[in-house]
Parts: sequence; structure tokens; C-alpha cells
Amino acid sequence: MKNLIYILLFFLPTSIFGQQIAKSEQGSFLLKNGTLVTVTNGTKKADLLIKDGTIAQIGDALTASADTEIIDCTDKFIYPGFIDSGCNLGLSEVGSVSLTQDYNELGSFTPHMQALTAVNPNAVAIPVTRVNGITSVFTKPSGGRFPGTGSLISLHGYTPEQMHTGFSAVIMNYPSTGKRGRWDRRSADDIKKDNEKAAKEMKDIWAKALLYAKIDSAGKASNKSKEGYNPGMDAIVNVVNGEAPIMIEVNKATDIKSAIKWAKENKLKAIITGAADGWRVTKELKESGFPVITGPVLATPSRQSDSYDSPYSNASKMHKAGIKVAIRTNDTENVRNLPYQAGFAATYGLGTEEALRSVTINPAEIFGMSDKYGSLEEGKMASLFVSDGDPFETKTQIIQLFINGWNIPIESRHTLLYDEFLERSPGLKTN
Amino acid sequence: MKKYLLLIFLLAPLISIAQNDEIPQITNKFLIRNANVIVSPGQLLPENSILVEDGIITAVGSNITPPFDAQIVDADSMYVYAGFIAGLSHIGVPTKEAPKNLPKIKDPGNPPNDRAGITPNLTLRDVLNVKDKSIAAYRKQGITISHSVPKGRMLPGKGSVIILNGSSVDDMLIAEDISLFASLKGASGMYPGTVMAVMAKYRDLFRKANLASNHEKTYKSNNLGVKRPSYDKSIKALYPVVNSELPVYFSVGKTRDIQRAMRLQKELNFKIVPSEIKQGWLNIDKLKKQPVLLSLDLPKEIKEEKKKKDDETEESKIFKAKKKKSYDQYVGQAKLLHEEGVSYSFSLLNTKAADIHKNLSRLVENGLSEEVALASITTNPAKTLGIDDIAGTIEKNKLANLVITTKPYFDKKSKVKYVFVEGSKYEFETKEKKSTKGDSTSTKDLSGNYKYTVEIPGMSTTGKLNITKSGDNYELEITSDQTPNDPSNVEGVEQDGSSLNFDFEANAQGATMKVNMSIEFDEDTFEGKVSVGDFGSFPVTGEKIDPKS
Amino acid sequence: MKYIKIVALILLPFVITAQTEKGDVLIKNGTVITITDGVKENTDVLISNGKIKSIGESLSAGEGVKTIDASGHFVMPGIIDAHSHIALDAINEASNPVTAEVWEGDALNPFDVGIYRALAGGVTISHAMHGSANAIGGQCQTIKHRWGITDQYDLIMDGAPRTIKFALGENPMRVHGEGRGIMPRTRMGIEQVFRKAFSEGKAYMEKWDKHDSKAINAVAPEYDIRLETLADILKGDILIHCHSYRADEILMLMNVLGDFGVKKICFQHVNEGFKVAPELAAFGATASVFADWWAYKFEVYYSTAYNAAILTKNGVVTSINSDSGELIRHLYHEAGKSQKYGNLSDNDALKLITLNPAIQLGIDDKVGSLEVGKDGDIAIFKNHPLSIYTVPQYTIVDGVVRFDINEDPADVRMDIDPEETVPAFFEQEAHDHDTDGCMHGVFEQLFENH
Repeated sequence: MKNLIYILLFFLPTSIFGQQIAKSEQGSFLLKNGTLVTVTNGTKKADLLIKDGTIAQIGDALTASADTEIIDCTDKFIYPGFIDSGCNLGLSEVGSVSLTQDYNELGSFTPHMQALTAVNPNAVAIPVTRVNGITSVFTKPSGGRFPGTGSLISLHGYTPEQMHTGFSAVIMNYPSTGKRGRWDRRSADDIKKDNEKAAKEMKDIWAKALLYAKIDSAGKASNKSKEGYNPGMDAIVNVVNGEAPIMIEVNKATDIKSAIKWAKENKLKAIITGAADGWRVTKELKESGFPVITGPVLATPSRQSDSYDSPYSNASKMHKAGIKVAIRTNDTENVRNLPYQAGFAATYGLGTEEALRSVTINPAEIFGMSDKYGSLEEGKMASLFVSDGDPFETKTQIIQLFINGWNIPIESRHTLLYDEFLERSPGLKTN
Repeated sequence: MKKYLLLIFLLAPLISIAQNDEIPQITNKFLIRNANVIVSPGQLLPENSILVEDGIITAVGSNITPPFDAQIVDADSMYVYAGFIAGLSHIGVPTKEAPKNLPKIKDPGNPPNDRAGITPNLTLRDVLNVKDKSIAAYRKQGITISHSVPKGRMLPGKGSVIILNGSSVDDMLIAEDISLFASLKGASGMYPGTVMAVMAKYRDLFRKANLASNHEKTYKSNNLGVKRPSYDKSIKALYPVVNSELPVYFSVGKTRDIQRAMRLQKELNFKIVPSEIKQGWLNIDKLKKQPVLLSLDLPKEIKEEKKKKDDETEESKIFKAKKKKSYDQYVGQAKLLHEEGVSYSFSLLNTKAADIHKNLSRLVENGLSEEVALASITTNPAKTLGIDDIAGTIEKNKLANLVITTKPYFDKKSKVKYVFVEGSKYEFETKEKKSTKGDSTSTKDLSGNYKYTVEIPGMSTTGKLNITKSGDNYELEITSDQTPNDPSNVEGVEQDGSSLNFDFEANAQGATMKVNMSIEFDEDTFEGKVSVGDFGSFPVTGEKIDPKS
Repeated sequence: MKYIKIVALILLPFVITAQTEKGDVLIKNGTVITITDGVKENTDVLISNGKIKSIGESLSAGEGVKTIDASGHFVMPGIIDAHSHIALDAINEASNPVTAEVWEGDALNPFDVGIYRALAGGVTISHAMHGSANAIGGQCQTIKHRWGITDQYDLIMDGAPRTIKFALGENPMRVHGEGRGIMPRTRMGIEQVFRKAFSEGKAYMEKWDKHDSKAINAVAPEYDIRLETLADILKGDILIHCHSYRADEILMLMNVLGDFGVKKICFQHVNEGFKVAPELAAFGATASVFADWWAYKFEVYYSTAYNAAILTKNGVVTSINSDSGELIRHLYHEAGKSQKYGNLSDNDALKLITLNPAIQLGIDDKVGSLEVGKDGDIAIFKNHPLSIYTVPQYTIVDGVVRFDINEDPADVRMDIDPEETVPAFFEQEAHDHDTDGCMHGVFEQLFENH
């Protein structure tokens, strides 16, 4: 008997002993009898078949083949996996240990820095995030005027390439006329001077970029290659040409207007991110046609004089003005709270349905990935989750998780510690 | 270090006398003839004269026959007021240069009291400099007597009443050690740093002093078998405070500090005079209990803005209204407090000499009666300081302290023509001088050798600034006292009237930083801002080093 | 304390009572969550002169009493945050590893808009704490969110026991050991800092207890406010709240306290508390935790969001706190997370932000549940407070309505700088938990004052 136990223990998943998560499974899965919240085609009771990584079929009374695992979803809800459109997940392990932070490189003009390269697929925070229903995130660098290029990654895979969905974009931090934080001691004059300096620098950079793009296309036309190594400029050539998108991080109202003007002048494919003051400039944002990624919703108002709920209602005010809005956490280790960020936006004017769109189909469309992600439709990738209720409510549990068709165990460091310590053994030692 | 300073200050007047070739005053008798004499606030005697003899007012009347050796000062249609009294100030106290080469503090959590800014044993006599430029500057504005206190942090020392005249410290001191000056300013880089630590330190010091004082009493009455008292000099200096004999002039400023100081008073039971009050209207009940000192430092006037397109117009209307309301409260404080029965004088701790007339007038514009304004710089401080028998009004037998102006004092165009301090006459130019806003003083020569002080929180940096004029441009050379032989070169000097704006590079411990200095000159002094790279802006003041050229 | 007998005129600061505004309110027809006596539907709550006078159906109040129609709404006790730094002008006196004598009550700021924003999240009481730069920091102050008053000392909650902040782990080691070469630099050093401080406090206490002031020619022992405060801790007059993370340091402090006879301790943050839940329960220690913060420092790398649930299920009185001016605005949501991470019941989840923090602050006789005789501190919500769709409607302190969603002014600031040109816009700071809460002002103090 003891031998049998040892043999069994040997084959049991290592989750009982160490901090490693159980393996995910590939295969065919038939989710039966659940309520599908498709996002793009309404909510309905139906079966959903996952096969070869995609949502192969949605319909009533689907039949399964022999190798299909049947998962009963009676009284349960199926949602497309949530997408966080801006965060640092995978790029930092422990906040206070600077050598584990890989999102802030030296230098101000570094658009060629690839966040994707530095993503740690084994970051402890990744399982912690996905078990809350977030299946992909846009993880990005920060710091400096052009911190680098961010990428949309699915939260499953052992190499960055396996995680990459295919979308990447250059980020820029638009020169700000606001205070950097509460401890910014610069006077109003100093801030103005610094801003003028930054604006001038940017103008210089952009002039160089325009010239570079011109030479580059001339070179391509005549099949000649340029001399020299200029990776930063290479990284933004397509942005300058209007072919590739650029994500412009800008928050203060006057800065947003200025950024919109600049992007329009240069005919850029811009995505405005941050937009804390978006509710003040809805007219300009709507006219520009640029989509907005905003968040975190759970933030303090930017001004002491702002109303207490201005960050909560920001997304809703922009949406009501006709702007396409996606919600992000802009977090590192608590990206898992994305559903609640969206939930607060829902409560303060956005409504549940639109809040759901802001973390599913809207970011998918903004990133040009809506053919693969963002809703429950046949043909899209099977990145979805099964819950026992409204995922915005904290009472709700996520029961099943699929990313790109893989069945992901609902396990993370947090759940494993719960399992080990809920009833600690040995408990209290009494002498 | 202190002994060294003491020596210098004591020698200074001697040195100046030795070098002084001044001709002695011709006469110490004056007849100020035929003026409008404001004997006390609200009491004007038109076409009256004042006879001054040997520093005392010997007669006030409409028909005085002067002695043969009196100088006649024709004050026809001028206005004469009792010499002004600063209820609290730093007049006569030079700014200490940051002492160098002090031993490093081994235990910043328990530093020696004097390093932490706790020096209640220090007195004004220790730091008073009879040649300090502030004396002449304030005297020019009509201040004749000042209750001056040492500069510093938490407990800089004891204050004395000085008269702004005289060539030695003994000449100047009228009433010595009449107060303890206190504030809530913490120490830098050591305990107590934050305001809560300062509050705890006050409790600690005062309770220790209380017990120590009792111990001393016990010992004095019967010393057999009792341990001999021996306490730190800062504790000893507090005995008269905890015994409610020496009042504490507590510099407070904004409302929370007022509440904190009054809280300490309630717990520790000492005589308090809340001073330098800027936001008193929220604490009227507490302020009514004793005479107080209001700050004469007022917020900048709100300029009428030209129509500027802003992105938050409805909000900016609300904001502007709120800001105006706040501003009105600050400038209406004196009027409101008077109506509520708070009795006060003015503190000039943070008021520049040049702003005295302007700010008093602003208070009057905002509703304060001229009488109360005048009383707050004459009769009220005289009473609070206990010198109302010899000063504060123009009456026979009082000190000959007078301010004579060309028009009524609160008139915008009024100028101080004469100031008498204990019978010494000071005369000033009253021709229409161009304002220091720099309209046409581009002809003013700013060249000279200056020393400057930059106030960076936690430390002050001093150095020298040499300005020479070559043709129409200025050449500047700036050094820091830490690197006196390594001058920085200055580029791009912009002059706008009496203001200069320039950039230079400073080297500090191997790093080079870009520094910008923007200063405005006023005769031999300047003040302005120094901006250092990304660190922010810091105030800078400077003065000419004994003008030789 | 002997000292008071000797110098009779000197009053203890905590005897001086704050002037508190008290009001009358009748809340009609809500779903009343009492916490200690179940949930009562269609029930009224009457507050009279700042205290709950009655809870029942069809209550009536006198003439002119403000009446709030709570039909369809939820009425619960005002939320209590056991770890906060809002309304403070100073947070860390980082000059020494032991600064027990400083008191946050001296540094209160009644004009902080953070108070109003907390009220807008249903929070009526917060524990204004010293930071975590020192092993033994300063005394904290339990305050009531009386937004609108201008005297800082009026924020103080009458009768709230004295509390003090201790800190274990990386913060004091980083500030003193690494930053200035002063012990503690390791967790071994931290233990010795406590033992030394307590021993000195004990010796001081014995000296003063021995002293007979009535004896002829009696001379009092030397007074020292820091040692007096340490002695008060040993006497049990001051409740200890200790910032802590790792399991081993939590055990260490319980051992030290046991050696010195101190029985009450509330561990703050205590991210690894779940690893020693049985020991905490056995000692009678309580825990005040984050809902889900982790990984911002190495000592919280091995944390779990199930901490609150594990502790609660093991019998440890647990609360959820904010340590943040942002989080305090939605503590009801943070409490809701204990239902996701651990399936706590509604009442257990709400206890984490009402009765339990009240117990930890020693004020559970006055607040923390809706019972006749307790203070009229109430929060009214549209939709259940643990639902994401909840919206705080009214927040009442001592029977005075301090937040009313229908009368929310555009700009609530009370103290405007007359020289400010435009209200400053603050870019969203990178979510750095250290600078947000417990390490506030440490760098500034080494470089600047006040």
C-alpha cells in the first residue's frame, strides 16, 4: 500500500509540493448548455465547441466526437477573455527590486525597445492575472519621450513568441504641462520652461523622423539601402508614413488637444492612451476620430478641485460623446482587477454592456485583432472563460479558462497558498 | 564657534568707531515746526510744533519758542507720527552663513540641542549687529523701535527691544531678554524634523524644565541630602518660561500652526503671544485671549487678467471666485479681527521694509480703519512690549521717535521725509523716484561685488557675484563659497530695468548642472530665484559687499 | 503617571476633548445591515444628538429633524479604515529608529480633500498613522471624518484609545540600516531595537513608580517623553499596530511582546499572516490586511489574496485597510474581494470594514455596528455595498450628514492658496505602494523640513 501511495504521489501534478502550476491542456472541448455573452451577437443559451484553438461552432445541442471533453456549463456564463489594453505585466517581477524591472530603459528616444523581448513568460503574476478572466494584455515599456514598442500577448505560452498575438505598437509620452506627482516641487514657471524644452526636443526628433522616412521611401523606390544604423528611426518609419499606429500617452486637457493637433498635422494613426482629462475634451477627441484607451478607473482625481468621481465617470462621458473607449489597468501585478475597473466604469455611467465591450471587442478592434479576439464568434480564437455569474461582481468565481484553445488550470501562486494554508498541517503546536 | 561670532560682534562697533572720521552732530536740539502732528491714532493737532532736546520730546504745542541752539526743521504741511514700532522682527540680525566644518552628528536621532535649532539660551545681544543693513532699511520706512529676535529654527533664542539708532549694542538695547522666540520649524536631517516631532520636543523640553526648576527650588530651600541640580543650558534657559515669567512669541502663520501652538500652550501652560499670524480668522476665540501679532506679509495682489482662452471656462470662473474669496480673507484679516475684539500689533518677520507702507495701505483699502492700522504700529506694540511709558505717542517726556511724511501716511504718494530716533535726525530724498519695476532704470549701474545666499531647504549656499560693466553689457562672474577659486562663467545676461536674468553651469561633486538665476535689484541688495536643473527653484538674496566703488 | 501628580497643572493631551458637532437624522425604510443583529428590511434608524436612539419600524422624529428616505437602499455602519495617511501634514519622522513620542494628532490637516473623498466612499473613521520608516514610529490618531470643521484637533475621536505604529521588515532596514548605517539593518537587529526600547521603558517606569513625591525634599527622576511613552506601551495604555509582512518577523514580535507582558497587538498588512494564522489566533493578535496588494516588495512576493479569508477562518479578527488615499474611497469593494478570494459570507465580508477595525482600534463600544447607544456613524448605499454596482449616497458622522451625493459641490476645497494661478494637474503616479503610503516623506525629511 505504501508503495502505491508513493507511486501515485510521484505521478500527481507538482502543484501539491511546489509553487509550479499544473499543465494546461490542448484538445477539443464542448461547453454545453451555458449562457453565452457573445458581446457582438447578444446573449443566448447555447453550446460552444472549441477545436484546433478556435471557437469552431456555436449552436444548440451540438454533438461531440469521441476525443472531445464535455464540460457542463448549466447555469454558468461564458464570456470572451478580457483584454487589458495597457499594462506592464511580465515586465517586472518585484516592484522594489529594480533589476527585476524591465520596462524602463535609459534614453528618451528609444522606440525600438521591444517590450516583447523582455516579457518573462514565467512571471508569477501571469497565472495570477489570467485566473480572473484576463486572457491577453498589451504590455508596454515606459519612461522617456519614446519608451519603445509594446505588444499584445496572450497570457499563455513558454516563450514570448508563443504569447505574441501579432500586434505591436510604438508608444510615446506626449510632453506634459502638469505636475509629475504630488512631490513635484517645480514652480509654474519651471514647468512651463521644461515643457517648452520638451516640445522643442520633440519637434527636432520629428523633423529628423520625417527626413528619415523620406529618405527611406526614396531608397526603397530606387532599391538602394541607406547607410548607417539608426534603429530608433527605423522603428518609427511606418508610424511617420501613417501605416503603423502610434499610442500617445497624454492626460491633461490642454495636452490632449495639443497632441490631437500634432497627430492630425502629421497624419498619424493615433491611439490616445491615458486621457485622464478625456471628459473635458470629448468634442476634440470625437472630432479627431482617434480611439481612446483609458485607465485605471480606480484612481484619484487629477486635480484637488475635481469631483471625487471624475475618474470613475471618465470612460462613460467619452463613450456618450461617441468616442471608442477601451479600459486598461496600467498596472503591473494587479492587472487581475481589470474586471473591477470596468465594473466601476459601468456603475458610474457606462453601463454593463458597454463596459464589457471596453474590455473585449473595443480593444480588439483598436489593435486590429478583432478577427481573432474580442467576442464569441465562430472562427475567432478560443480565448474565453466560464463563470458562475457577472464577472464584474466580486462574488463571481471563474471556473474554466481557455486561452487560444488551451484549457488553463485555475491555479496561481495565490490559490496554491490558499490550499496549503487554509488548514495548516501541522497547526498550532502545543507543548 | 559661538564665542568666535560673539567676539566679532563685540569688536565690530569698536572697529567702526576707530575708523570713523564723522563730524559729531552739531546740535541735539530740534524744533519741528508747524506740522500736522498725530499725537496718537485719531488725535491730530494741526499746525503744531515739537521740541526735541537730548533725545526726549520736551514740548508739543502750537507756539513754541525754540532755544537758540535748536535746528529748525520746517515741516510745514507735513505729517508727524510717533515713531513706528515693530512688534516682532529680525531687524539687526544678520543671516548666519552656514557654518562650515562642524563635527558630523553621530546620532541624528538624538542630536545636541544647539545643532537641532534649540538655543533658547541665545540672546539678541549675542547676534545683534549694529551695522546690519536692515536697521537703516527699516528705519527709512519709519520703524524706530523693534522687538528683534534671533534667526533660527525651533527655538532661536531670546528677544530684546532695540532702538534703531546708536553705534554699539549697549546703545541699542532698551529692554533686554523680554521674550522667548519660538516656531514650529524643525531641524534639517536630524530630530526633530517633522512638525509632530517638534511638538513632542516642546513637551519634552518644557516638562523637563518644569521639573528642573522645581528641583532647583527644592535645592535652594534645603540642599542637605538632595542631589545637586545640573541641567543642560537649554533647559535652564526655559525656567522663566515654564514659570510664566517670560512670554513666548510663537511664530505661527497659517491656521494649523496657530492651533498647534495654542494646543501646546493649553497643555504646558506658558504665556504665549501668537505671532506672524496670516490666517487668523479661523481661530478667533483662541486669539482673543491675549494680544497677538499679525503678519504684515500679504499675498500678491491679484492682477486683472486679459481675456485668455482656457479649456475649463466654467470651472475657471468658480476657481477664480474661490481664489478671490481666499485673497479677500487674507487682506481683510486685520479688519475682521479688530471687529471681533482681537487686539494686535504687526510683526515684520517676513515683511520687507519696502512693503510696509504698501501693505498697511492695502489693509486700509480693504476696510481697516487708519486709526487701528496706526495703533497697530505705535500704541499697541508699545503697550504689549511694556514701553508705553516712553514710546508710542508724541507726548512730552517720551522718546523723540518721530516719522515725518510729505502727505498723510496712508496716502499713496506719501513719502517719509524725516525719521527721528531718540533725537537723531535722518533725512531722506523724496523726489519722485522711478518705481523699481524697472521702466527706465536701464541706466542704473548694477556693477559691483555682491555676496549672495541661496536658501535650499536644509542648507544655505553662499558665494560671491561679481558684476562689471563693459560698454552696454554686463559681465558676471559667480563663485560659491565651497569652491571660491572655481568661478562659473555666465552666459546670456538679460537685463530688464533693474532685473537680471542669466544662465550658468555649476559644478558640484563632479556633476555639472545648468543653473538659471533671475534677480531684481533694489539699491545695494537683490533678491530673486535660482533654478537648478530639475531640482526646482530656490530663493536667493544678495547684498553689495562694502561698496568700495 | 507620577508625573501628573507632581505638576498638577499639566494636562495630558488626550484628556482635552474635541468639540464635536452632533446631529439628528431619521433614516427611513432602508435595508439595515446591523452587523451584530442581522439584516432588517424596511427598517428605520433614528439618530438623536449624535447617537443611535432606536432601530425599528415606523419610527418618528421631532420637528425639523432631517429625514432621509432610504427606500430600496442599504443602511450600514460607517466604514472604518484601520490604516490610513489622509488628513496628515507629516507621516514619517525618519530621523531615529525609535520615535514613540511623536503624535500624529499634532499633524492633522482638516482641509485635505482626501477626507471628503473618503466620505464619498462611505468611510466615517480612519486611523491616521505614522509611517513605517522606524521600528517604533509615532503615535497614531483615530479620527472621524468631520469634513467642514477647521480646527484640526476637532477631527480627533473622543475616547479612542491611544495607538502607536511599529514597523518590521524592509522599510526600517532600508531607511536606517542601509540609508544611514544605524541599526537595524537586518531582522535580527529589529528584534534588538524592540528589546532595548522596552527594557529602557521598563527601567524608566520602575524609577518613576519608586519615586515618592510626598517625601521631604523629593526630587523627581529625570523626565524623558520618549521613555514615558514606551512605559505607557508596556502598561497597556497604548495599542500597538505593527506594519509587518513576513511570517518569521510576526512570530518574533509576538515573542518579544510576550516577554514584556504586552497582550494587545494588531498586525498591519501582515501579508504572510496566513502562514501563521494559528499562532496569531492563539496570541489573540488581530490582523489588518490589504485585499490584494502583493509583489511590490520582495517580502510580499509570496502573498495571497486569500489572506483575509484564511485568517478569518482560523479565528483571527481581521480587517481590510487601504493605506492609500485612493483605495480608501472604495473599501466596500475591497471587502467584496474577500468573497471572491475565500467565499466569505456577506456579514463576514462587511465585518472586515466595520466591527473588526473598530475592535482593533479599541472603539467597538462606540462604533462598528448599528446598535442603540452607539455613535450615529452611518453609510447609505444604492445597491448592496458588496456589489460592484453599489453607489454611496449619504455618509453620516455623529448624526451630521457629511456627504450627500445630491449635494456634491463642484470644488470642495476649503483652504485655497491666494497666490495659486490654476489648480495643479497631477499626472497619475506609477502605482508605487511605498511612496503612496507608509514611506511618505522619508526622502524629503532627509533633505528638507516639514
